[in-house]
Amino acid sequence: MGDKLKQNDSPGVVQDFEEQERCIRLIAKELLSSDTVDVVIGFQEDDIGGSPIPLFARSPEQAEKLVWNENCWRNLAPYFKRFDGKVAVVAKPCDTRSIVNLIAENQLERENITIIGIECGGVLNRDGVLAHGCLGCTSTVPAIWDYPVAADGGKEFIGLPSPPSTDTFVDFNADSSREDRRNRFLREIDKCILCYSCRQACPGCYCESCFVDRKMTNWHQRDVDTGNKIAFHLTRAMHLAGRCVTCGACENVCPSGVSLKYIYDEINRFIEDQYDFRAGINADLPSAMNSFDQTDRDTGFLGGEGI
Amino acid sequence: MIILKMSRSAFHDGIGKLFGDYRVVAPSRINGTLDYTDIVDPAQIDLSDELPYKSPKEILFPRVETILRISDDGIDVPDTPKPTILIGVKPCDITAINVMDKVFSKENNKFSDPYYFRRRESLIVIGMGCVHKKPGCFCDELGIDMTFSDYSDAFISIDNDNNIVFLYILDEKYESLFSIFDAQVLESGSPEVSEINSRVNESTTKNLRIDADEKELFEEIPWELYSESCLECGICTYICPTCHCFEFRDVEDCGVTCRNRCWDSCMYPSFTLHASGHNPRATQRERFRQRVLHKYMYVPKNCSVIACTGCGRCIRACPGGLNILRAVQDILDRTIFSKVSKAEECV
Amino acid sequence: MPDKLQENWCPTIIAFLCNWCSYAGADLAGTSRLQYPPSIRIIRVPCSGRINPQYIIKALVDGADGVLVSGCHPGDCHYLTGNMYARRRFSVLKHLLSVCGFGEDRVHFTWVSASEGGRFADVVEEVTEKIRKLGPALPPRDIAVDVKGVSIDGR
Repeated sequence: MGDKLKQNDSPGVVQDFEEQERCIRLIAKELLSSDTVDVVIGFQEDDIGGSPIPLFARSPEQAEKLVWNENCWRNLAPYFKRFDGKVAVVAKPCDTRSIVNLIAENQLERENITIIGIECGGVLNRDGVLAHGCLGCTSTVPAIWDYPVAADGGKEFIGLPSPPSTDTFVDFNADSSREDRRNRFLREIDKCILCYSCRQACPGCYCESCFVDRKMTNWHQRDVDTGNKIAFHLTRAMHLAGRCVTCGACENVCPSGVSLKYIYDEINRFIEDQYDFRAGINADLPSAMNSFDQTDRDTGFLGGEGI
Repeated sequence: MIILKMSRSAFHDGIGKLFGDYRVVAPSRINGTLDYTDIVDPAQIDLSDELPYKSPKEILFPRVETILRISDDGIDVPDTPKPTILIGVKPCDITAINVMDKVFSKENNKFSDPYYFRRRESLIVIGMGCVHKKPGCFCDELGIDMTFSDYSDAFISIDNDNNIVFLYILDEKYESLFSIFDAQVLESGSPEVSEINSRVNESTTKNLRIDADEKELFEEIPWELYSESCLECGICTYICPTCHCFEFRDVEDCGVTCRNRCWDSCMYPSFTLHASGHNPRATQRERFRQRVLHKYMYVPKNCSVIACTGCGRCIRACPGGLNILRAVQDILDRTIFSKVSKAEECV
Repeated sequence: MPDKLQENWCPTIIAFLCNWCSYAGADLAGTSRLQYPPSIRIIRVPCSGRINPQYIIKALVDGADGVLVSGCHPGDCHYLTGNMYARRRFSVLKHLLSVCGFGEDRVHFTWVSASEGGRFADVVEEVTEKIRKLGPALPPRDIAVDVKGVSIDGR
C-alpha cells in the first residue's frame, strides 16, 4: 500500500493505512459505545468495487465497517453540518481545514463535533491518480483534532512529506500571456454543464439558497452558454475568495472534468500575499473578505499598484 | 437482413461520405474521457468496449432547446435540426431511446412531443454490443442483453483481430443509405458472419419492477438510509439516459425572447418548490424516493417499460456513492416480505 | 476588433457610483460644466461596499464595454468602513479577472470624493480612452473556443 503515493524517498516516513484504519475503528467504537457521539462519519467499502463511500455509523457494530485507505478521496465535509446532535468525523487534513472554516463562520459548534484527525500524505481519486486537492497540498497534518491518528497509527504526527505539486499556476501566470490564461479558462469552462456538482460538494458553499437558484431576479439562467458559465464560475470564485481550503472536492466530483482549482489556488496566493490570511488555519480569525485593514493597498485600482 | 463486411478504413471512408447530409455522433475520446461527440473526422471515432461517460439522450432531448422565438418580426419556431446518425450506441442506451419514445409518444400519454419526435424521426441509430460488463452495470438484472438490441436501425460488430467491421442492417429502409460503404454484402446465415444472431436471445428475464402499494412504500421503506449521503448535485439525472424532466425558461436577449426547454432534476430542492415557499418534497429522502419510484414504478405503470436500463452511470458518477440498484433490491425484498406476511395473516 | 473601431465610436461603460462621494462628484462635474465623454451609464448605489462583485461580472457577461466603480476615499466612507471591505473585494476581483484573462482591462476601480468634480471628469476621460483602445466588447455568448472536438453539449 502507498506505493503510488511515495513521491520522494524519505526513509522511514511511510503511511501505514492498515494501522490507521485499526485506530480509527477503535476510536469510533469507543465514542459510540460510550455515547459520546450519536454518529461517526467515515468511509466504508463500496459494493461495486469503486472507491470507498460515506458511512454514517450509529452503533459500534456499524463502526466495524469503517475503512481508511489510499482511495478515500471522497469529501465528507458537506455532511458535517447535516446532523443535529454530536458528531464525530474521520477527517483528513483538508477536511479539518473545512471544519475550521465552518466554525469560524458560525456554521458548526466546536463542542458538537469530535474530530478524528488523520495524518494524510495524499489520496488517489477514482482514476487512480493523486486527487486534485492533494496536488500541491502543503499540510499533511490536521489543522484541528481531538483524536490524532498519525501516519504510523500513533498519536504523535510524524510529518509526512507533502505530495508533489504539478500545477503551479504561479509559474503559469508569470510565463503566460493573457491569451493563454483566457484560453485555459475558456477551455475548462467549455466542459462545464452547469450541474452545480462543485457547489454541492464544496464545504464552503453552504448557503441556504445559492445565487444561481434565485429565479426571481433572473441573475442566472440555467442555459449552458458561455456567458452563464463565466458568470457562475467567476461569482463562485469571488464567493470563495479567502475561504477556499483547497480540498479539491470541486474537481474530484466534477462529472465533466472541469479543472478550475488553479484559479482558487491563485486567488488564495494573492490573498495570502496581500492580506496575510490563509483559510482553515485559525477558527478565531474572520476571513480575509470579512475584515479589512486601514493599511490595505489599492491593488488593481486606477493609479494604484498593478498586479 | 443484409450484412456488410468491410475493413475499418472502408468503414471510416463511408462515414466520411455521410458528413454532408448528416450530423454524425459517435463515442470519441476528449481528454481521456470517452463520450458521445459530434464527429468531424472519422478517425475520432473510438469504438472501444467502454461505456461513454454521458448518455446520448442530448441528441434527442438537448439540454437547452429553443422551441419558440419571439421578436419584433413575429413568432417563429426554430428549424428542424439536421438528421443525425448515432454510431456505436450500447444496448443499454438503445433501450433508453425506446423508453424515451414511449414517454414522449401519444400512445401512452395525451400528447406526443413534437420537439422530441422531429429529432427522433430523422435519427438513425447504429448500435454496438458490449463485450464485458463494467463495474456498476446491471443491465442483466433488467433483462437487457448487453450484446445486442434490435431496437436499433443497424448494428456493428467488430472483429478486432482482422480489423473488420460487420454492419448488420436491421431496418430495410436504410439499405440504400448504407450502400455507400465499400463492402462485401453477406446474407444472414453465411458462415463468415459472426454469431450475433445466436446471442440475441440470451437475455435474462429478471425484473426489478416495483409493484406495491404506494402509501406503504412511502411510509415503510427507509428512504433516508439510501439517500443519506446524497449531495443533491443532480448529476445522476444529468447523465442518466432516461431522465427526462424539464422546465421552461423565457430568456430575453437584445429584443429577442426565446422560450427554452431546459433540463431539470428531481434531485434539486427547487424542483418542487412552490411559490408559497412550501416544498412537498422537502428533504432528500422524498426526492430520492421520487427518482426511484418514477423509474421503477410510475413509468412502468404508464408506459409498460422500466425507465432504467442498468447502464450504471449514476452509480459510478455519484460523488456520495449512492447505489440505486442496492436501494431497489432492498425495496423489492421488503415489499415481497410484506406481501408474504400479509398473505399469511389472511390465512 | 480594430476594423469595428470607428473614429467616433463611444463605448458603453456601466458606472457604479456611491451615493455620498462619487455620485456627488459626478454631480459637481456637471454643475461645474466640465466636459467628459458621454460614455458612462451611472448606477447609483448607497456605498461602494454595497456593490456585489456579481453586478460587475453580470455587466461584463451581458456585453458592457467597460465597468467603472467608484466610492469614497478610504477613511471618508459615509458608513465608516464600507469602502474598506470594498477595496479588498475589488482587488481580488481584478486579480481573478486577470487570472481568467477575461475582462480585467475593462474593469476599473477608483476613489472620487464629492469635491472632486474635476477628478471625476478626468477619470471618465481616462477610462473611456482605455476602453476605446480595446474596442467593443465581444459578448461572451459569442466567444468561440478553439477546442479540438466539441462535445455534444457544447453549443
